[in-house]
Amino acid sequence: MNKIEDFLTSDYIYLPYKKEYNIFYKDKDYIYKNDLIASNGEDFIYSNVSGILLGIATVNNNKYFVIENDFKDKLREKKGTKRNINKYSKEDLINLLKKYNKFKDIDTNSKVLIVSGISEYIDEITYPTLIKNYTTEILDTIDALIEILNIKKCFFSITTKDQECVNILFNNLGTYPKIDLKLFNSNYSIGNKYILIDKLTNYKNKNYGIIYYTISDILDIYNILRKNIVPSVNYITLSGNLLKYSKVIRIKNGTNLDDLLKYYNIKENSIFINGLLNGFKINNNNFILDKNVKSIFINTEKKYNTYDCINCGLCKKSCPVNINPKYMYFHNNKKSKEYKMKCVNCGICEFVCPSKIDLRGVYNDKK
Amino acid sequence: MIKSNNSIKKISLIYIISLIPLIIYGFYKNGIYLYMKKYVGIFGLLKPIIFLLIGAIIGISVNIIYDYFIKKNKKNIVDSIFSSFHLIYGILISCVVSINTNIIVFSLITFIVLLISKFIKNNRFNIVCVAVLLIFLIMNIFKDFSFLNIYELNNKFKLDTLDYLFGRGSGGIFTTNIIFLIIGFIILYLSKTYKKNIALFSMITFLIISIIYCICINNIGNILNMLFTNGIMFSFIYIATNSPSSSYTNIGSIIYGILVGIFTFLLYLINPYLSSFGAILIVSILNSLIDLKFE
Repeated sequence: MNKIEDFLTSDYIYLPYKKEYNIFYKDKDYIYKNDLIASNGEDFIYSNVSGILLGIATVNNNKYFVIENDFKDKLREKKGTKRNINKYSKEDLINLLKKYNKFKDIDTNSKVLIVSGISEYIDEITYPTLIKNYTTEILDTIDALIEILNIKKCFFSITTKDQECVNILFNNLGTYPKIDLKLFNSNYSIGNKYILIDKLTNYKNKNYGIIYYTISDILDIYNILRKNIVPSVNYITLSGNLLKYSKVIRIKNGTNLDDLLKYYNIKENSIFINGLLNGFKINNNNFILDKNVKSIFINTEKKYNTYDCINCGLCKKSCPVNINPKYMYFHNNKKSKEYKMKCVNCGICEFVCPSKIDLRGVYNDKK
Repeated sequence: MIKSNNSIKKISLIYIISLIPLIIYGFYKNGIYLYMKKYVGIFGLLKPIIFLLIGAIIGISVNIIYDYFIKKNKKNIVDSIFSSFHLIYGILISCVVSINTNIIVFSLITFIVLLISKFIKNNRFNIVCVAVLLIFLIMNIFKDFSFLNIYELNNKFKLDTLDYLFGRGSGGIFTTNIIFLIIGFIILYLSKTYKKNIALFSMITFLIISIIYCICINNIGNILNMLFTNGIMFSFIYIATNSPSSSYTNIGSIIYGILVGIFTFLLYLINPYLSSFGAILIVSILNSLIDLKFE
């Protein structure tokens, strides 16, 4: 079983700042863990450590609140741990999840819950590792959500490649009869939210009537329900061909990548965030690891020559959402915009392209 | 970012591998056999291979000249050779021309057409067909031009099915052996980038129309001659499926194949030798419309 390594000792924590935020503390104020620092009514920025608020800093053109971590994790008011996480009313649960940004754009009357244990990016091992390490917590949380939100159908999807997870879940699911385990072949892109929803349901509007959570979200919800505090950590796959083996690390949200690399004594420069197919390369190690970062790959980088399109159609054939990436690349009209809206930015088109055309780059530009 | 190992180089090598049996047979039929029967000398023996080498060298040199001297883009030489399908075009042109073609005419036309094609942005017409048609037209100006080699010109044959299958029909230098053509087709069929629909639907369409035609003119025996000579099958499998100038959408490629089959038949009634090349050229010009329509 893969163990999860901890890196929770970052000296400074960077939390996202936006102009429209109302800020509730001044620079140099002491901030407790779980204090609401800023909000615009929709986003709520809670401190995930205790320490001194140093102010606002710009890192890679993004602005952040900087907190000097005192490693005490002090809470303003001590909250007890809830033994039974399914003892919430529906309203309380939704309010609690909304408070910690875990119930955004979700229909409160949704009857389908989809839990994805399938990594969105190739070679990530975070979700299978979490399933192996936190099986009971995950299943308990899903069961509580089903009961409280009155869910009619719950799909727990994993790939057959994660054989150990399959065995663990089969051994445990007997006591959770409402959870329907769905096994998928490990086709790349099946971990994408919209593609997975499409495979599991016939819902045309993928944002309505369905609650979609990843394993990582479920663990956050578990901590919210148990302790009523902000999810403060993130689980990230650290992998790549320059590392001896892949590992899952637990970090504080808002950790600077540079601190992490120093901790693991990694000096290489080719660092890719969120997968080698659809992620991006960073040129500066001063990069903040927020909740959207799922994986870090330390890899050698091969340079490719780009050639003229040979009209082979491989991009179109391999597209999981049946759009035409070539059309999107060469045209700028209503249809190409429609394609752009449908595109899930999975990167397969660019991966298979014999001419090595930067199809995803054009997508990103147009977006 | 990581990328798959699909590349123009890989696709080109698959094409070359699939052509090897045909090239060996073509060398035997138009070189070794004629030499053994004492119709030709050493030059005649090597002529098929000379055509092949010239075609390949022109394809390679056009890419290198364009990259190094015109674009002034100093790539690795192998990257430059496989920066487009011009090597394959050169080889394909040498495959489909007649053994009686003047080597200088062949070399000049191939070089000029391939070089010009490099300057045409987003060219969507079949370059191989343009070169072959030009070579044929120029050769016809000078003398009565034939696709039969010297042995075939001097003897009369009554060919049966096996003769056609084993490549005794007339056609381009390396195009006549139907069994090896099928093997080549299978090799290409297994590759991801090969446009199977075009080859299949053009063959099926041409076959159906030819059968109907032969029944109508009450000459069913002519069907094998229609199908297996003049490099028609070779054109359907290797030239019509040329990636840059053919349709890439699913339905588009089926329509493309059907149109190639229909036009080939229509042009066959005018000039059997050039029917498939003319048809592919016409349909390849219409290609962007087909792709837009069935996009």
